[in-house]
Amino acid sequence: MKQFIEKITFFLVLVVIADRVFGNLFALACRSGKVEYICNQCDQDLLIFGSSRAEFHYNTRMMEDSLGISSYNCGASGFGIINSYGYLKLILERHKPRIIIYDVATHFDLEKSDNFKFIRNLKTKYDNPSIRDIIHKVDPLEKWKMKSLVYRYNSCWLYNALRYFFKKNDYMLTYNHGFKPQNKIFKLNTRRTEKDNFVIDSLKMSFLEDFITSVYSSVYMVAVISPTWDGGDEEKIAYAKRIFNKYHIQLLDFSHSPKYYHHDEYFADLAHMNATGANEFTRDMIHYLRNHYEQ
Amino acid sequence: MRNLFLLTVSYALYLNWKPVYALILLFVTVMTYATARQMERTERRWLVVWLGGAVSVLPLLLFKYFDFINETVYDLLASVGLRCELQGLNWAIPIGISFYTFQALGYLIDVYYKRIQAERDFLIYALFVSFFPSIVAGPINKASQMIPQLRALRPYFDYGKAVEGLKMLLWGMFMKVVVADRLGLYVDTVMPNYMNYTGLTCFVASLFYTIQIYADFAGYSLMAIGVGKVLGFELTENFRRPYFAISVTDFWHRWHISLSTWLRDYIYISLGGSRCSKVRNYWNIFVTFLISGVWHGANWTFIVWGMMHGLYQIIEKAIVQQKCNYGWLGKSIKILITFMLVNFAWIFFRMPSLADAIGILAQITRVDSTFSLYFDNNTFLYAASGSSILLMKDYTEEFFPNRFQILNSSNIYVRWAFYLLLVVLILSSGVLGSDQFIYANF
Repeated sequence: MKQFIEKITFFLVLVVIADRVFGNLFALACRSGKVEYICNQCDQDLLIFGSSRAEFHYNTRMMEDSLGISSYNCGASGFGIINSYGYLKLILERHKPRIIIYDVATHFDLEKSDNFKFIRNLKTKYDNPSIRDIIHKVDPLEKWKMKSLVYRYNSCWLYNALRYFFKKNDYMLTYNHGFKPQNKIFKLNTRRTEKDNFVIDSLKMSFLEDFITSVYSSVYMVAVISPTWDGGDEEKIAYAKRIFNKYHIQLLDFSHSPKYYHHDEYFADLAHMNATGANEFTRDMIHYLRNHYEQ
Repeated sequence: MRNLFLLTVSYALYLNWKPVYALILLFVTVMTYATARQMERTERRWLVVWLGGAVSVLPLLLFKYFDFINETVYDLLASVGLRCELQGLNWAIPIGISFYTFQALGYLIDVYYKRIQAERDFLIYALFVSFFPSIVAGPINKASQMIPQLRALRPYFDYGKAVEGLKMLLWGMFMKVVVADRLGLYVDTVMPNYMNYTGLTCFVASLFYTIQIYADFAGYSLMAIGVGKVLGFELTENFRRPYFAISVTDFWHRWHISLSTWLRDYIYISLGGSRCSKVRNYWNIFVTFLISGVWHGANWTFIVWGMMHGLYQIIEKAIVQQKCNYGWLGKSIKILITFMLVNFAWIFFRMPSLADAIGILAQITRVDSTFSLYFDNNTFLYAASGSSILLMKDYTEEFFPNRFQILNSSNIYVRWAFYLLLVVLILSSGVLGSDQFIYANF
């Protein structure tokens, strides 16, 4: 028994050492990619936040050229209000943008779902107090798991390490300003799965309100529901509208806009526009901002 | 004292899930204990075992099958114009009820056939039924194997068993959180919405599910066996590299071994086994696997899945292909064919309805479907790396059992380096927010 306890103790010491060594290695290897850029370098005056719908729908190069305001698209697949709020906090620590566009995706921003996936990339910034608060709100148990440096890079170290070692030139970071155009043309052979229940996630609600209150007195903010091929759920959109109205923030709803609704040529799939659609939609947004944003 | 402590811990953990269901566990325990004791006191053993067994199985039937039977009968009557709707129960299923009920029934049948004597010590028997490492998702332990261990004077600590147990725990955790849960992210995205994905994507999702269910269930079993070993107990081996099986018959000697042993000993052999005519033997195989399907769940998909495995084995037996008398190429082809047959059947196991199972198969086989694949960088990278390590370990254990040992290497540096690697992989690549084992629903 004594020998067993000694060996276990020695093994645990080795685990702690390995955790420190690999944790620091992962930290070195994960210093690239869009998320790192957003957290550490992004200083453009017009920022887009949201999910893949934000990433694919807003041509920020076009916006920059037309409006004369530096622009960056902070949207990415799977992003919701929880991680967007985290990135906003990190940006606000060093820079105040002039315009924020938040592309609302009700599934990621309002509805109850697994919130764990939204803190995946935030964990690498756990040393920041704002990020720590967000992670603890999502799951208080994370406080204990975060004692491990390796765990902070859980589910993001491998891809980032490969990117670092192969020095993948991410054109989105520079040339395309975070915008990721889709080149597919929509073909109707699928149907959207119907969800029966719409359950509001109070945690996401609180983060959405925190997001708004962080900027609404000093930054021009617009919330947008960008086009979908078959229109969005009106009940969910109405709920989103109520939240933004509370803070007198305009929610532009393009989900049922006749210009885009059921127009195959503008879409890559049911939920995402292709490059043609994105450029057309960006023109609409540029037009709106020209008429409503006073510099 | 130690048994009392283990029993207290077992019930305390069970109460943690849903307290009132501990009463069901206690009911089944008391019922089967009393039935076995009564069998030894009476001439009419057959009557006692039938009555006691039927009453002990009632909670399983009520919680797991009542709604299914209710809906099926209602649909049947409605199809002929008769409607007699009974209110469904909609009760949640007590965790592990299928496992501990079968474990207790196995004990009863062994006592009936005088393979073992009825246990007099209620504490030991209660611990046998509720033993916490295996109550949630098996293995289904045999009384003849487990009860003597509980009765025996065990050393307080066995160093060798403890080390082996911890290795199993570590490897099981790796299989579960690094391989199974990672693959599950892709499967759970594609399969519920299969209509929105190409045939190739659906096919890849089915392959991922095949690996997921193995890593999930085998991983959990290994953890349960590992914990048992640390406590000084030898639990039944439950998986033996099933996807290297050379036939579906061989597959069932490697997959969920404790269940297939239970079905063989208490259903198949009781029906006559293979000591009968060919036709009767085929029937016995079919019924055994039909029951296996029913055991897995109250849905026609599980029943079809069970029947498929029964039919596979009947055909194998008819064309004498249970074993492999070919060279390495023939063996490889047989392994691949068996894998694809099992993969095909898992589709029915995974989907929530027969219509969905047929729908996803139709999607996979669509002629006009594009060859594009829904590719999620993260999932594929982590899934590929985790699955490769699992495949490598299973491959070396299957074909080079005494060489290329890593976990059991004679070199301490190799062993410890691998342990540390597993810990780092669990922390860095494991899906550590997941909280549900697939088979815990049974």
